[in-house]
Amino acid sequence: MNPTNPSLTVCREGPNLVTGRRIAVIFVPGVMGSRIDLTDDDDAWDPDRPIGNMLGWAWASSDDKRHLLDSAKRGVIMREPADDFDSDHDARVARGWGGVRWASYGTFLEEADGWSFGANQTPLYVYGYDWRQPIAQIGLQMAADILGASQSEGGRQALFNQDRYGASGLLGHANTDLCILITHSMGGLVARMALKQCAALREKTIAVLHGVQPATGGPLLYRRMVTGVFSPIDGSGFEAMIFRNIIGPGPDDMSTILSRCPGPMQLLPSNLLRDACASAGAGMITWTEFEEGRRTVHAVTESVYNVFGRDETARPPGIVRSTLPVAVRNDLSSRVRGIQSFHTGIGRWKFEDKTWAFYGSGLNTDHTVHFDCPPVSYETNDVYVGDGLSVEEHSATDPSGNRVTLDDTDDLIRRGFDPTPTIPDAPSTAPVGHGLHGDETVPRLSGAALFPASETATLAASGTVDFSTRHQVNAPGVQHEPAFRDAGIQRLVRAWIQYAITAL
Amino acid sequence: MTIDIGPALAKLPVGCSETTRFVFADDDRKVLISRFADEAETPEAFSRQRQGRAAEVTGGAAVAIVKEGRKLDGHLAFLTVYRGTHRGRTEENAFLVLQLRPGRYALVQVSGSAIQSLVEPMVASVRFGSKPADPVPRPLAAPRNFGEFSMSLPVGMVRRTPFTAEDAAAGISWRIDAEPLNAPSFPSLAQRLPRSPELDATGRATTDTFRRDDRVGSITIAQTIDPELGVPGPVLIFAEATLGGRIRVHLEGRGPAAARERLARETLGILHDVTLTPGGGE
Repeated sequence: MNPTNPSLTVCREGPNLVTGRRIAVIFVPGVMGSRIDLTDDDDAWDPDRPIGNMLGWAWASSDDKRHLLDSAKRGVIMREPADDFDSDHDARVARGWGGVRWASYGTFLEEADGWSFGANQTPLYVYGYDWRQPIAQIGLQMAADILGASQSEGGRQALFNQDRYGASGLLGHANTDLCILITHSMGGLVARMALKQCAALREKTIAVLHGVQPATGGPLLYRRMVTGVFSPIDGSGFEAMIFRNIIGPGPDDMSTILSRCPGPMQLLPSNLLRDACASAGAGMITWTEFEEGRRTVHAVTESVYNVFGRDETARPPGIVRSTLPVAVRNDLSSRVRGIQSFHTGIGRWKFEDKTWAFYGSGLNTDHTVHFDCPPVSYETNDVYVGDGLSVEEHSATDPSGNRVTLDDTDDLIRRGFDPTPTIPDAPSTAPVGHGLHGDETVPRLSGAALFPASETATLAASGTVDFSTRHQVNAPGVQHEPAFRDAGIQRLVRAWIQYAITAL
Repeated sequence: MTIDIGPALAKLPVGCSETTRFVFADDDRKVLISRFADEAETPEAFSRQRQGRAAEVTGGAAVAIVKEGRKLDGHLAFLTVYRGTHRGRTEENAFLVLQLRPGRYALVQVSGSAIQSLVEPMVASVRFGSKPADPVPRPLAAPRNFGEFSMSLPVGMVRRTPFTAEDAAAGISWRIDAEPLNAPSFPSLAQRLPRSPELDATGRATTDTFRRDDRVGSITIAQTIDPELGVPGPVLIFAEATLGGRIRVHLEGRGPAAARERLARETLGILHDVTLTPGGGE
């Protein structure tokens, strides 16, 4: 395969002869996986430079990070990698490989670049994107960059080809009219919005594979925006590290830092996920009340966007935190409207008959979120602890007449979050709380939301799946962030590309 | 409030405060200065927390070779210097946390190669309030004023970011910069303060010329579309004016649609009031 030399295309046709096609394979990464020059502030988001860049993010104030991640500011996807590629440097740069975090995607890209599919040519491109932007906007931009022509949809402004792959767009650079899209996590939502908004892109896309996509959102970020990073369950991996040290760790930090950053916020859960959880026997957001003696477990049945739009003292807690300055709260309220608009717009839409997906399962994941909400009113007293020191102690009287001491962190800041609640009448199969319900980030019912169980296969060691009848693959034990580094997933992706080309 | 934007002095609209995050750089080194509110009680408490985060972010590849509390000009400060090797390259980062007043801090980050020898004289040059600068040790340039403190930077460093101001409660923000017209680096300034992408894309912008006394220029007002909701979004103003044929001032304002008239009025006010800096500025 020589993607830079189209003259090598095999195109003889007839009896006993083969037909070779040239199809651009475009990989779309997940949130925070793209490397961005933040030109307005002479800064960058570059997770491939831990000392040269991430160290500065770890030291910066929340307010600084709020301004740096402001989606209204210009972001330019990096072309050059942090370190030169070991081989084929210029061609890889031209195909966008420098725009994504190499530590996350390098293994997969190098592996996939070596795959061959008979007489066909499948040059591998990467579409990094400014993940701070609203997802619909990113999708529109992606279509413009792939097609090499301006795009607009509905009331949105026209977005122009940024010439990242040249004046004729990615397809022009690849010298083809056809593409395959492979997406990771948020990249799936981006690609779906690109396809939904742009008929011209649909005409040129022969197949799409979404990997570990939060298709209907996920409760993890919502929970973190209420509790902050919660060490017992916010464990390992790149994303957890970022949230502990850069986006968090406290709920005020997190809400401040993301307040002008619509892209990640649109990963919050939708009403579709609320309904899927309810159908499975588990409320997506549940709570008990101190004043009721915690006898009743309430579940959200109203629009989850109404819930998000409230402050943290509401029952259940919202994300527009009362502790933040008015300007930040106004921004958060705008983000909540954006979350609603996004999920309402995309729903379960997919590129019908051209879409496949895989999702991870069986790993500890937030699927539903439960709060034992603290009392509305409580007393605060100074308690002498010796050595001339006193501390504040909070307490309230429960319905049984018992005086209950409230913990500053667990009860008041984290609003009584319980990762493993007991929900009466929930079936044993219901994905309740934090448990073996997904890929550590995306809950199973969101990852699997685009297809029914009847179209879902379980990942076999061989990677073999009958893609003609099974549009979705359950991949037990596959983790979210490193999903494409998993050998089983790589075999699956390779087999799927082969199928997609053959079925063309 | 009047701020020094290099070759010009600009008067900010009532209710706005200056919020600039300064970046200066030369070929090998970069200095970043920001001021912010934080609940930490001391610079040391702030720094200790960040040291923990930095250890995980760098995977232990950066080692703090300096961790020292100081008192600078009567204010508490804490200096942390890291050295680390990543893929064969040695990089250094210094973080100086200054307590401006209780609950308010400045963070000075110096990064690049072989910066450690520069950091000590830079730290020693810190002065608060309006105190006159002491004689500056080589190889530093004359002290620069950062609003609540002053500090000297290495000779040859060029400012890379515009000045910013904000009326947070009203949701209005400004970016402003100026440079002599005959400066060889003038095109780079235009790149530093570019027209917003929304302004480039919108078809709803109107442009008027601006002329008063010795200043002439243009003001463009655009009603953008909110990319999240697809409805009318912020109003964006881009203005530029030359003063006496000597310097050009760039101005970009952003605010909610309801503040359109206010933004237009304040843009004119800024351009009317801007004056040349005595002595020519930076």
